[in-house]
Amino acid sequence: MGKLLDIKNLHTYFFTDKGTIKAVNGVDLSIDSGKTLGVVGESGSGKSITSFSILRLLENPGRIVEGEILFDGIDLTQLSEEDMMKIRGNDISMIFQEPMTSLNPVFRIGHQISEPLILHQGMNKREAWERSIELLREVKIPNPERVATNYPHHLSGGMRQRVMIAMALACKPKLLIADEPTTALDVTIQAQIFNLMNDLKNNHNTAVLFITHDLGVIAELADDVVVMYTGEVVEKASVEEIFGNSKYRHPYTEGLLRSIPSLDEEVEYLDQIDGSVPHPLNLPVGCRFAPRCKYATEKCQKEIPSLIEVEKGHLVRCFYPELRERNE
Amino acid sequence: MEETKFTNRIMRIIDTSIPFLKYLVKRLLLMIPVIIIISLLIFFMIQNMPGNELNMFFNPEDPSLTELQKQMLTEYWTEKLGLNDPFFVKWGKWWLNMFQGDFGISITKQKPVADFVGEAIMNSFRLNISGFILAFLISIVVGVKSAVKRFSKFDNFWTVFSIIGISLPGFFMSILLVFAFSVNLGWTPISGMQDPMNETPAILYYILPVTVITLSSLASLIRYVRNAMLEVLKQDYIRTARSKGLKEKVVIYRHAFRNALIPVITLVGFYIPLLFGGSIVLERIFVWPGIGLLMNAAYTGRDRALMITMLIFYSFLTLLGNLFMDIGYALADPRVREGGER
Amino acid sequence: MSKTELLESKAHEKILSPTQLMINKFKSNKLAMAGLITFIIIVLLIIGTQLYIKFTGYPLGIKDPSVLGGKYESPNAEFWFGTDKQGRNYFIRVLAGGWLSLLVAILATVLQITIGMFVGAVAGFFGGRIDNILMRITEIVSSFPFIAIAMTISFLFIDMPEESRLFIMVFILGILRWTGLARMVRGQILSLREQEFIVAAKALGISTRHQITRHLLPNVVAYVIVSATIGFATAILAEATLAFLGLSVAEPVPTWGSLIQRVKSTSMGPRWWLWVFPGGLLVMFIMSVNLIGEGLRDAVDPKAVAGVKNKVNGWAILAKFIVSILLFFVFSVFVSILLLFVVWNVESIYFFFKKYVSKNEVNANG
Repeated sequence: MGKLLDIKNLHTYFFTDKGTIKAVNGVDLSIDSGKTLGVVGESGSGKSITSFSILRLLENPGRIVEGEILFDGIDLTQLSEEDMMKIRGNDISMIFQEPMTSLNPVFRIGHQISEPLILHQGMNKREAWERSIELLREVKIPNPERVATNYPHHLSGGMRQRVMIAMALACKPKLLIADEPTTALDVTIQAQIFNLMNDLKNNHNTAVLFITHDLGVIAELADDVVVMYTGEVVEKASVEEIFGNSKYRHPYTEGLLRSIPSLDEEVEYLDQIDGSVPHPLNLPVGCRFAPRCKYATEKCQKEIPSLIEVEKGHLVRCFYPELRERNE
Repeated sequence: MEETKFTNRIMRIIDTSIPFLKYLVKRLLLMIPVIIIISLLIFFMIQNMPGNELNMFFNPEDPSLTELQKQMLTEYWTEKLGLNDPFFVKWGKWWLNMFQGDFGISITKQKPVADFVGEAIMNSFRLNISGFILAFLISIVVGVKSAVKRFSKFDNFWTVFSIIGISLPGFFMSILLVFAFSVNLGWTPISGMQDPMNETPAILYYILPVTVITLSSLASLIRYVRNAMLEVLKQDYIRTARSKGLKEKVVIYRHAFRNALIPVITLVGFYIPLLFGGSIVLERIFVWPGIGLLMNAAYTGRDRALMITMLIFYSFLTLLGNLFMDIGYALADPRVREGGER
Repeated sequence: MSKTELLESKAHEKILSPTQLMINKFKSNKLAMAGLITFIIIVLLIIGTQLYIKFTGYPLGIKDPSVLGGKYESPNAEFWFGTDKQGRNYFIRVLAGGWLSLLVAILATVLQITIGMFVGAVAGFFGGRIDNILMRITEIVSSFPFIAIAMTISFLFIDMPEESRLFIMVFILGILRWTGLARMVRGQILSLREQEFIVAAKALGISTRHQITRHLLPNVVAYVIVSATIGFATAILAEATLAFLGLSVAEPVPTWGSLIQRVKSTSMGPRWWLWVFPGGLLVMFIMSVNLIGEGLRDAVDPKAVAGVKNKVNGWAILAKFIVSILLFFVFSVFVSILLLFVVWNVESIYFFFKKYVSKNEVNANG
């Protein structure tokens, strides 16, 4: 099966008065159709900007300065704004982080779901309304006829995210981008939303780009994983390799994994990664992660490592990718 | 299916309108004590104005009057005007008369206030409504465009324009315009509302005052619309709308503007008193026979009846404006419409 | 360099930035800086003229023919702004007119802010019934039609001596224009009350008064200063408008509004200097204050800081506080000018009170 989405060497910069922020700095990633790719990273790692770049939803002063985003073989960065509109909400749709603020407060739910249907599928208002009720039923919202006439403020956060999912799936997109869809929700609701997304993905054969800062979520949902740090990919592997006993691992991924609580081992404190993501205008000279890395050497402070393939399909951006090597 | 949908809809309307009606009634009831206090204050102020009210009706220094006549006149007018009544009795009587459509007798015009105040209101209204409609239309178009193209040349131009606009006092703007268009170019008449000879078309008399009203409200309106729009454009739901593939025009004029309208409606309420009230300064400069000019006449002639009527009228308009603001909010924002707290 | 050092140096840079940003932001705002410079020049001119009048005993009336020129002289080397009907030097009259606008505006702004902040802070902090009553009073005051009520109040005091008209103007502007600020301060406090650091202060058992003065007010101060600037501009404008209607201080003391008032449509062209100079100066002055206000608003507004979302940041609050103190310093310079004025005019204030008291006594007796 061919690649549905193939991002090559993407650079997205923000040109502010204080300097150029390189939010996405040479990212490569790809998704096969029907698969789920998890993108993990702390806030400020450029994962959301990558997703906005795909849909070209960047706001001033952000711009894609280099790279290709091939979707079904078409380079999205070269498309006219008009052609891009035909893709948004139709072939690629998106779910956002904040369900509370992502729905327009002055329009009824049914109206908001109808919009893409009328636009992309050429339905009339009535058909679109009927279809949006069906969609609401599909995302397991009780009493969908009534909910369709409601305004967003009538609904809880979990319900609103379901509405967002219904809206995103309205035109049966080939790719769904989910940008931390559950961060703002309660844990119990989170699980429901995951199950829902999994079901829908399998039913519609939709590829999903799942963005999160939570590795635990990735383990449940993703087929492949990309770990990002300061706008760069630091590790790329299948979910088995990341969570399994691979010999190779980026120290950052290692830190992220250690900070997940585990039921098997009894530990007094959870490990954490010291420090925080460096300011984008003030990046370290060498490896971006070096100041926070336990294993950093002189070389790490001075030179930038490149992404190397350590096993088949497993890439790590580190001078010492092998776990064994480091502990010496 | 059809039927349940229809009943659903009816239920919805009833569900949503009852709390709104409750809110409206509550709001109206709250206005009553406010209007009472305002009227008391105004009444108190006017009662304490310097000068003897009696002297307005006859001249005590008039040599043609005998002492007895003077005394009788004094007694007659004191009785007629109720000057010896206690404060609250006077105030109560005044309200009673008000409800019967009697606003007292104007001494400057020598006729009941009720007889001529209506026409003045209409004259002011005609002037202001044209100015405000123009100002609102222009400011919505310019404000939305400025917000969308923030920091562009277009935006910067209107920002500077707004700052000049809010810094230019209305009277000075009027003088500048009169100087340029009436005195120098002679295109428009200097003042008045109509040509007594009917030679110049009436519309020419409107041009300058309407321009002043438009320009002076435009400055703050544009800023207001722009800021409201900027606030909305930052919201997440605008990004959602774009991610659905909607056209930029639809995103801006349907999704964003509909939300920006909520604060803009507040402003309409703010302008209601000005709409009927007219401007004291402007009407004085242009000798426009509206409410503002009447107010000027009331003060120069120390016309108490006229003054009280005008002041109550103005205050009532302001309160009505506030009420309108709240209703407007409720109509534009479903969250308030259903009786929720903002 | 060790890792921890590297981290610390970065943290250090971050701490400085909000304050620096605000000052830089104001400085880099060319319009605001132009406004500030214009403002300072005009104020210096006005104060200089006033000092000159005070120390040379320059007559503003028509007493001394030695300083008079011809009737309606157009601007020339001796009389920069020309002369008026009585042949008085118009330059001095225009700048002397500014002094009154300045005083009225400063006093009125101080009064507005005092009332507004007090009412807003009390309403916002105590909430409940007190809030309800205060907000109703605010609504009543704000539904007074400004110019009409100003005219009424001004007529109430029409028998007062001319010297005290100044205080009546201040009273009118101060007592009618505080409602917006009160609402804003209340809103600010209501939202700040919910924030963590106030909850923390409460949990620590810090007293109510202490909470208001130490924790809440500093946060509001930045907003207050911005609205004070705008209020100052509005006060100048309102004073000029009332003076234009003949309600402010009368002859021989000039004000910008009353100077412009005398223009007739027939003399507009030939005697242009009579209205162009006071009007131009008035507009420039108001505009400079508005530009400063805009610049301050942008500099103080956390939302305007590039890329930072509207989150309450401890350092941003501190920075705002520091900027506010600096601005308060500027403000206190104005207050000292004011005090200077009061010292100079002790006799007339005394005169005002004496007259007022004696009038009341007469009324009581009669």
